Amino acid sequence: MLVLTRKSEESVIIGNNIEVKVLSVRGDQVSIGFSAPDDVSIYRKEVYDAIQRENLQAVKHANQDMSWLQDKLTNVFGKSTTNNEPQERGGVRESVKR
Amino acid sequence: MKTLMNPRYSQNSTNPTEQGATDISPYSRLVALPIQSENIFHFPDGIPAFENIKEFVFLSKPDSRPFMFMQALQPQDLSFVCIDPFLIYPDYAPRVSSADVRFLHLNDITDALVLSIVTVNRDMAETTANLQGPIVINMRACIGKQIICDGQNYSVRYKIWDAIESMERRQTEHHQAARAAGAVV
Repeated sequence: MLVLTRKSEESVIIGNNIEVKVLSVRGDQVSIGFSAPDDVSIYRKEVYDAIQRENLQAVKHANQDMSWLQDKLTNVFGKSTTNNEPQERGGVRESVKR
Repeated sequence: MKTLMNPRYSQNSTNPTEQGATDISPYSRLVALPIQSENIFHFPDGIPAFENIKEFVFLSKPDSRPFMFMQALQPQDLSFVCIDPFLIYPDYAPRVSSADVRFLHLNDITDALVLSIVTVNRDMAETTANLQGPIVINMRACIGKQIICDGQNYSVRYKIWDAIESMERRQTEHHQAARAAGAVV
């Protein structure tokens, strides 16, 4: 990993179109500003990691019985929720608004 | 790219997005198309932790509704349980960044269908939906992505059972209030 020391208001350039700027440092909190092209996604790493972890967990659903939860959903929303035909979708919206 | 052509598709084309990011609310979405298993959705980036899986189909089986399955074409045993997040979180409004709007070719935000991946737990009360990383698919262009709503306060593990319980409670209160009002009249 390349390590650079920066002060407030100093920045680094990555490639030729991404700028990362240290805006302020207060205690152990650092505010960082990013200027990047629109097609570059910027996330906090822990958020990205959480979604990765959750996806890995979510594939392990095989053979799980979901009938309890299905019954409960059907109880609250009625049978219309269970169909993804367009006219039925309208029904979902109405029951949600209730 | 396979283009979805369905005569039932609504052609009204307001474009609220322009260049910017956009929120998808239950009322701005249009789910005009039933999910059809023959439609293959391309995920150019895969999804986090499964970056190499680029093609999915969505299956809705009668005995598993309202849950759906997002199943990889290859390997076929890779699948995710999904649910319509607006069903379990009526005020849900995930923000799609302008980058994602372009990535998904979402010129018309009403082409978007939003789904949440469900993490099924043996204990049903612990079964959760991922609201922070919804799957957004462009129904017209058949492109999909798991977007990340960083900056919005949605849970990665939103408990479905609890959500339904509180909706049930509200429904009951509403009915009781209606009955009480009726008694006065």
